[in-house]
Order: sequence, then structure tokens, then C-alpha cells
Amino acid sequence: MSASRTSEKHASQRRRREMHGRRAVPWVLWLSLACGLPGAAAGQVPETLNGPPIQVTPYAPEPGVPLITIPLGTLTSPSTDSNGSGSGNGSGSGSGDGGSGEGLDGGGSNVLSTLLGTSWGSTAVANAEAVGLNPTALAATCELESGCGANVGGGGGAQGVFQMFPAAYQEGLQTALAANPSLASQIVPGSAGMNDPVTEAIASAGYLMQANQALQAQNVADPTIVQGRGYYEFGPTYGTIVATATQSTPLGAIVPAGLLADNNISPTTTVGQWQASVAAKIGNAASQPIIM
Amino acid sequence: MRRLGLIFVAFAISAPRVSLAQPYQPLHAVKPLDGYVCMSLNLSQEQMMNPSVHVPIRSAPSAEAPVTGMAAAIVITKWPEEQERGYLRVLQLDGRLGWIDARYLKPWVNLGNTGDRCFPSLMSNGRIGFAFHH
Repeated sequence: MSASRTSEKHASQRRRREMHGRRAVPWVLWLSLACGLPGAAAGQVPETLNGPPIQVTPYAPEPGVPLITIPLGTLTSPSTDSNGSGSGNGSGSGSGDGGSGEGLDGGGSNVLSTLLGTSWGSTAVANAEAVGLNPTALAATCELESGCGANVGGGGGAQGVFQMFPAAYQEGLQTALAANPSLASQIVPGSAGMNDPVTEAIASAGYLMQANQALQAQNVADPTIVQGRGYYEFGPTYGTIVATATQSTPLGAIVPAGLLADNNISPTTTVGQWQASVAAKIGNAASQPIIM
Repeated sequence: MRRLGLIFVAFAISAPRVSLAQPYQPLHAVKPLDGYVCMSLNLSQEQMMNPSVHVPIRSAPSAEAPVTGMAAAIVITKWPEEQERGYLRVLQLDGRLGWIDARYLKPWVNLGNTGDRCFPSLMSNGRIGFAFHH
């Protein structure tokens, strides 16, 4: 009798546990869905892609396979931006914010393909990644400075494919080697290194890392390639101001006239116009982060 | 244990996704920072372009005080001026106050005489920056 009652009690407890267990699943799901879904829905903005998505670019092309370049699509959102928006393929333009809004969405970026098209490009890309740099930042610099070797000038003391000045070159090398000492084996010593693309690419990568650190230290969150470009082109102290000034600021007010003339920039060019001109040359690389 | 697992899975499915790509937002000034003015670094052009030349911002008006940052070409300085032992009170772009040796600072100069004045400002990204206008 006692054993039978105990057995009935256990069976009853088991049924109750099973019922509770079955109820627990929907309760938990309903709670979490109720908490999470509205947030997820609110954060979603419908977007359309006006071209193919980002293509995977091989570092070492397969022999015999022709190089095919596919212009990238850009995401467009139905929301309006009163401060201007990018348009067109290769150059951003717009209006608003005192008539000086410009977009950085300058179409597709092929700068990495250009860099990888050189005999030393894949080594430079691997070295950039070895110090933590986004290789597109290095490729954009290479493209903007000399078309990756196509237009190496010798003006004003800047040398090599990356057109670095000696002080910046030394600083960049030090930063890169501090980040990855194993790169020392690839460096051509002395001033000859400035004209060796692999060595100068290491220095340039180090200098861009330094730009990223300096901009972050000045409270620029997640510095982009175009912001790093200001540091590279106008130097550390002016470059930071360019990154933190309004779009309508004339560069002539904050960067010395001689420095602008050296870079063929008019003093009346605004920060926004200059950023758009950079984006026109390097495409959507402009808004990518400097570091990986 | 099983219930905890279910909670984890349910939240993982329903939690809002964090977007990795940040759309570029053109920067504009929201409001000027009252009580501050722009000053320029008192360095030669060559020094300004040399990445190894730094003007330190310190936590106290003393050469021995810890360095809390490096000055850019334009420095935001407290106005009316606060000077102690040859150091000027400055506002760093990350919002912290600091001190710079007054010898390294001079009144802000519009480098291109564009007629614009410099205003330390709160920017549209919620950070401190600069606006230039008449």
C-alpha cells in the first residue's frame, strides 16, 4: 500500500515536471523574442545594392587566368541625408550643411588590384597585414602618391612609390618594426630603402599605423583611410585638425599655403571637397578603417 | 542547465545585430564651446611636419607631471586664460583638461587669411572639434 502510494506520488511529480518543462520552452522564447525583435527591427534599414557585392581578390593570381575587374556595387538607403550624399561613379557630390556637403561613397575601389598588379604588391600586402594594417589603406596611399609607381616624381624631397619624406620614412619603419620585428629581414638599409618599394611599403604601413594611433589619441573614433590620408598628406599636427574640422572649413585656414601648393590643392578647397576628391580617386576605400 | 541553454539560444536568435560597417557622416558643428578659444602651436613649419616632434599635454602645470596627450596644430585653451607656473590650461579633444607649456602656444592665426575665425565646438558626432567661419 505504502509502496503503491509512493509510486503514484513519484509518477505525479514526474508528470508535473514534464508539464513544467514543456511550458518553459515557449515562455522563454516568447520573453526573449519580445525583448529582442523590436530592437532588431528598429535597427534595420532597407538597402539595395546597385551592383555586384565585394569580390574576393586573390593575392597571387592563378597563372594564365586573365585579370578581371568588377566594379563594386554601393549600398543605397532610402533615408535622406540633409548633410549631403555621395553620387556618381568615382566622385561624390551633394549639397547641404551650408552648401558644402559631400559624400565619400565614390563608387568601386580598385586600389588593391592596382597594388597587387605590381611585382612587389603581394609582398607589400602581406607585410601590411603583418603589422595589423588594412592593406587597402596601403594600396590607397600607393595609388594616390604615384599610381603605384606609374608617376613617381622627385619633388620637394619626397621619394619612392609612396613619396615619403626622410623623417616620416624613419618614423614609419620604427613603428612597423616595433609591431613586427620579423620584417627587418626584408628591409634595404640606409636611404636606398626609400626607393625600394617593399622597404618603403613597410615604412608607409608603419606611418599609417602611427596615423591611426595619433587620430585615436585625438578622440577620432575608428579613423578611416581618408582621415589617415590627411595625416599622410598634411603631416601629424595639421592632419589631426583636418580630421576634426567641419566639412565647410577651407583648407587654407588650417593648412599652410605652401603645403597645399606642394599638393596642388587650392586654399579655398573645403575639407569636404578635399575628402570627396580623395574618394574620387580611391573609391569606397576612403571610408574603410585604417586598421584591420 | 537545459533551460539556460534555451535562453541563450533564444536570445542569440532574437538579439539585434550590430552593424560592422559605419556609414560616413559628414561632420558639422552643433554648438560652440563657451569659455574656450583656439590657439596655434608655436613651432616652425619644419617642426610641425616632423612626426617625431611632439608638444606634450600634461596633467598638471609642471614638466614632471604625467603626459596625457600630444597637441595638434590647433589647441583649445581656456578663456579667460588660466596660467600657472608658465603653463596654460587646455582642453583635449577627448574632453580632459590639461596643461601645455605656454611657450609652445601663440594666438590662433588663419594660415590662409581666408577671413574665417576658429571656434572650438561640439560636433555632430558628439565629440570636440573645430568650426571655422566669420
